[in-house]
Amino acid sequence: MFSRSEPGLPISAALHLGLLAAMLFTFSHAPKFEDALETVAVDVVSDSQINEVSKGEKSAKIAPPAVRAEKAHKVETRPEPPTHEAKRDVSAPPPQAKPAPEPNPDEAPQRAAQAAPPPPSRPKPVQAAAESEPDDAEVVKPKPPTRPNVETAKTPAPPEKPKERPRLNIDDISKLLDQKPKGAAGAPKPKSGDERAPKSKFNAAAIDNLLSHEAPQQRGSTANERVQLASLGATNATGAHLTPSMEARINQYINDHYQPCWAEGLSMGRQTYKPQVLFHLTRDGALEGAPKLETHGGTAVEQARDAQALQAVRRCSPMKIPPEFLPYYEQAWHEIFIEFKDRDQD
Amino acid sequence: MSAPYARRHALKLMAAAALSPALPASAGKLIVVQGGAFQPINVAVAPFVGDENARLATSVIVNNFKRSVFLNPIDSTSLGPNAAPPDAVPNLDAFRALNAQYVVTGRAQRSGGGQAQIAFRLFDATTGQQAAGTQFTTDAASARRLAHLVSDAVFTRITGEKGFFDSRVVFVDESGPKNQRRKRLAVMDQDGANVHYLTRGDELVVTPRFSPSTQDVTYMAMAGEGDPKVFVLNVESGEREPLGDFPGMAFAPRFSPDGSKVVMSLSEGSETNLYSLDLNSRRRARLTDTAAIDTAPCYSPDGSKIVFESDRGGSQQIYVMSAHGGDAKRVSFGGGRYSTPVWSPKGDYIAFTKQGSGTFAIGVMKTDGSGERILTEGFHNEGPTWAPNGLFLMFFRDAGGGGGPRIYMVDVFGRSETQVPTPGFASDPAWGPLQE
Repeated sequence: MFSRSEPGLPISAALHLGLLAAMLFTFSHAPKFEDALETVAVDVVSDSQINEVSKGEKSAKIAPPAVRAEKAHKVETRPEPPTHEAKRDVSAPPPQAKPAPEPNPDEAPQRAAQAAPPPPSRPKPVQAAAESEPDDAEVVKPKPPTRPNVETAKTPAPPEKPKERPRLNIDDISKLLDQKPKGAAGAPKPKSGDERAPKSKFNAAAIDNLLSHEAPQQRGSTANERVQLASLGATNATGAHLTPSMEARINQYINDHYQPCWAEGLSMGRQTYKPQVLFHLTRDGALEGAPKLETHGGTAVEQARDAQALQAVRRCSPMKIPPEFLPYYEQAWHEIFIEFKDRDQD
Repeated sequence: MSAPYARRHALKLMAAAALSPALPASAGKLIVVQGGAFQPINVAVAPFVGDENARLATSVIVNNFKRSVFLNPIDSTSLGPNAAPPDAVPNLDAFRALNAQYVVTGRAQRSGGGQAQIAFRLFDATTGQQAAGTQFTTDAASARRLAHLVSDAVFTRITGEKGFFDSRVVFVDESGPKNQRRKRLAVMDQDGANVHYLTRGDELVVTPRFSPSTQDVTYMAMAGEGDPKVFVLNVESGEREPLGDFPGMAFAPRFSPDGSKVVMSLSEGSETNLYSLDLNSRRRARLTDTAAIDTAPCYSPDGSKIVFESDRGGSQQIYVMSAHGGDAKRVSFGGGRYSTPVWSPKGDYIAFTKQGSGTFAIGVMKTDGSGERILTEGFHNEGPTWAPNGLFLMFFRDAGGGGGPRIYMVDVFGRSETQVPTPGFASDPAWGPLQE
């Protein structure tokens, strides 16, 4: 490997390795970046507050018997008692057709005559909410409508799962470096300057390919080829390194963007439920697929908050990603996970 | 250290360093978005289609939402009549351009049998999905109630909270000169419509209270020079009966949550104590026994406790005790005098009147007395009453001078206050339960 007549390559390799070792030594002793501190809001709660009575309503079931004295005063007018009304669900109508282009004013009357509203869908069976109808009321059953031509919306294709990054096999790299030329085992070390000495098998390009997870390529190595080192702070093939301070800036930007679309709840500080939404953005900041709820409320109020959280994401879309943040798209913008909460929630 | 070993070790360190920037630094990291200022939810109410009931329904629903504070009705008439047909998905692009978050469409008309019928659909403007849809049918005379039912359904679907629109309020209607006021019991819809009078006005009537379970109202009446007495009046039939024959004055009555009892104040000599009366057995139970004036009792919604006003500590303050009586715990500690406490239907807050520094304030506090917040202040505010959903209060205000009292409505956040229209002067409102 070493040739006294051609010391350039071994000296170069030694210097590079020395530089690498020095850098690694230096960085291994470099002070760690401090983790971004997360502030936690703290409310001091007294024992009495913890013991606060929170009772639910009890519907009044028992009514006193109608023991009435003689009728006292005649009143001028008496309000009608609340009647029991029939109640039934109304199904969703067919989806609206694509809007037609702006009509020519001259053609508008003809278009209006030709256009027909989509027929209503078949109603569900009537579910009476309470007692029977008054005897003198005629129950009118609607005519069964014709079944509309309902176009069911195609469900969007699920987003492709990101390809798994291949695991980096340290041993493979090590083996590459340890590869000895065939027939070299047991052979005497060539003397420096011996042109017949086999050239070094130190394949910098193969190592680089392993580190960048690319398929190995056939290319020759030269003495001048440098090994591309991945070091802290340097650009690599997947994007810029996301420092905690940059991450905090991005998170604040996202918070400022979606907050105006998040309506404060009606909880008066009693609500503990915080809906969480996961969604994806394209590089243009548009929604990629539908936002997804990661929490699922159990009560009507919690489910309403879920709906409001999804609405907040949709209403505040698209979100333009500032150019200075685009290098961090993969790390911080493609997938966003938000928890929505009220001002007075912990 | 041999060269191969050194290379292997160096590469392991290098590879470890190379791996770290390749992983997303924020994968799975939660961003917390905390709510800013309050904003109501924008709801576009497209004009209902149908006969004259349709115009009435649209205006009632829009007015309800205006008064709801939490829903903001958006005027969509500029979009034209075809933007929201009742049986199809509306033109959501046009409604989104108006910043609508939800769209209500519907139809209201008389059915073939002469009944009033209303059907509505609620659409999420961001997705185009139908969020709710119901059809109601009732007698023609109750057509207005259908609009309130739609309002409640929409309010509940959007906020998750119970509505309050399909409810009534009993109050004291006042007319005539101030020194000779004629006071009559009256009942109206919560928006001020459909006023009906329950008494003639030939006796003084105060503090009416709705039963939570029946169509009964309890109130105090005083005829001529006699002692005030408590009565129960049935709103449907107009029949009334006195509650017991007590020596002394009986006043400030209120039903228990199950409607089986009435709690009230009874004055005997210099003492005024609280009693409960079982409406079935007519058995009377004494709840307090002090030399003070205990009055304005109100049950908690589960019926286990009673909040009331007492001057046993030297000034009017609010106390809470078991519904069976016994020791009472003071819960009001702010500066001033506290009176007319009422327990929220949700059970979480007590509303009150607070007097001090020449003003009368309406406020709420938690049931242990903490978290006191004033919702409105002025001269002279008094007598809060809770909406069925525990999110609104009505009270009456007498600004003084030659005029008279009026009824107002305020939300529990104190964001919005509106006057409730009444035929004349009005006081002592008492909000009844939802009519369903």
